[in-house]
Amino acid sequence: MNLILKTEVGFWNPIWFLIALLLIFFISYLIWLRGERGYRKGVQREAFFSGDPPPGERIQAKNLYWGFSEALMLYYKKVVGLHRGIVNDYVAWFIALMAIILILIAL
Amino acid sequence: MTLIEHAPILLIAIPLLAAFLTPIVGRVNSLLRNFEMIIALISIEFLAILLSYDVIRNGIRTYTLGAEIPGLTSPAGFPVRIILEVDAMNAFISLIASSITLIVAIYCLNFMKEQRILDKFYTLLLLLLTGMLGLTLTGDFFNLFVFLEILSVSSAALIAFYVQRGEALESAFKYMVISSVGALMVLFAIGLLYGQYDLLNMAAIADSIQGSFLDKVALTLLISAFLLKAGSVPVHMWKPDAYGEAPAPVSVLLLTSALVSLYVLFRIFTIFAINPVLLGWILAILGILSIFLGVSMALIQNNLQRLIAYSGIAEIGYIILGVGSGLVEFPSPTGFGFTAISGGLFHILNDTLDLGLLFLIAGAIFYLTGKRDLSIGGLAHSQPTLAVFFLIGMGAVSGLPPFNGFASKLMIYESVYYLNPLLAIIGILGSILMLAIFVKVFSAIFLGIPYDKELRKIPGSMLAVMGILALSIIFIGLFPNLVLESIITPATKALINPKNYIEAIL
Repeated sequence: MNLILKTEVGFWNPIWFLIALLLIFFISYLIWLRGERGYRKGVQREAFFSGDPPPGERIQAKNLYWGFSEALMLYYKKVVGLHRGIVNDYVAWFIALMAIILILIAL
Repeated sequence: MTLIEHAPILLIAIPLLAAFLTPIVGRVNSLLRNFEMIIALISIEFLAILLSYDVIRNGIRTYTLGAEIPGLTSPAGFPVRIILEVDAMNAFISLIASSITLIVAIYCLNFMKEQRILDKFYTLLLLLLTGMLGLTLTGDFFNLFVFLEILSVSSAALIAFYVQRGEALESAFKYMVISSVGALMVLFAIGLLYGQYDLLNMAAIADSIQGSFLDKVALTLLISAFLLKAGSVPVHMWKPDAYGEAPAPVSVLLLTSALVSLYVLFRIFTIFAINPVLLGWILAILGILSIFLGVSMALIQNNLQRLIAYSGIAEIGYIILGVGSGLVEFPSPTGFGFTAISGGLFHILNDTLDLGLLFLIAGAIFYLTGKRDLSIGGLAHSQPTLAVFFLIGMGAVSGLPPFNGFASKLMIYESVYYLNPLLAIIGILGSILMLAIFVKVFSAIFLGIPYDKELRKIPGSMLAVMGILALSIIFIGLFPNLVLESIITPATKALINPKNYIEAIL
């Protein structure tokens, strides 16, 4: 039984990858063992805000890519505008797709 | 007369009969109803495995309804009866459909326990399976239309299951409208083909097809309709509505039915083979658009099921990209073309497992908290198993090694790069974004301060089902070549050799 996935120009051997991964985990564990032992318990869950008190409004994990979506605001305005949830639009896009494929195939 | 001879029709008949038996048994006892449904689904699974093994080993199997001998397809020189045709390709799809439905049904036993009208729910679930298996196994166009309708009607009713929520009803209505328009186009295409060739059998039409203007119109209608059912860009918009509002396990079945539609699309594409280079490019471009739009829209979602739905659009994009790129070289694909198609088909299996697991986790989160948005937080403290399952699903859907998604995506990237490097680069970027999205979801739902409200316990059967999916993901990830050689390569060969499909009937 051949366990190696051969593609046209390369191969993939997950077993070797797993062994390497376990080795990396083991080395990481050894480094972790040498880490700081005098840490204070119970403060890990507190939000760190550069030493200042955190702002009143809680920033949540769902806001993680706020900067990304702000930078692409123009794109998102357009794309979200296309997803208005109106069923007429859905049918219109379907007709447009049919028309484009027909033009490309028939001509 | 052997079981295997009648396996194709039994695969459709058992869920159909079980569907109508379910409400009657449910009147007697709900436990007996559940038992009857699970037994029916286990029988279907067994038959699907048997049939797959048989067609991979012995070649195409046909079944003619009403004939003295099931294999007698063309007694008068042309096929007139309803014929089912099973090769390695549709056996593979029927195996996926039956396995996922069994998994979902076991999950639903506890997930839906507190809901009312469960008799109707399970009836619809079995009808949906009937539609999927019928679409997959049928060899003629009219039955394709009938099974498409069965699938659409049962799906719409299941989407509207939480009928007390206006949004669920609205989503079901949109799905019904869009499905009806798609089905109408399929019927119109069948009419065009029947009008020209006096035939309804797919293989017989493929043998006679001339490539006339009307044939091209019919092909366009069929391809567009099945792209719509699969949820490719730009006809994807019904998907977040439907997947977001349906019960989470139903979303898994909707996803599976989208993949069945993709199978029909690829089959029609290969047996008709009209302008394959152009159509292959169209599919590849639609695939890349689906990836880009799917991940970028998923990034800004706050409803978990809608987010997974958008990821599903991107994942469908990878399948279309892979198979489309390979079909550019149809009918004689090179090694790269073959790898691209294999990668695309392999991704159908991986996609079902990865997104299926994520949807079931979303269901479990809803079961625990009653919430579908990302403002939960800290769930890993009380639900570490669920968090581990999520990490596995996240790694798999993002194509991280050593999970299953990596193997199929590697095959797609490498072979698509050969067709056009830009397409491969966008595909890889899509996977990176996908990982970023699910890292956000993991962080929002599982990390942080422990969830402050009292949580219920996830029933063992729900955890077991998610565990089976997670283990399958890891197993396929570690032994991709095993799956590839035993199931995917025969399926790819069956798909790209339509001559065998046609000659088995005529």
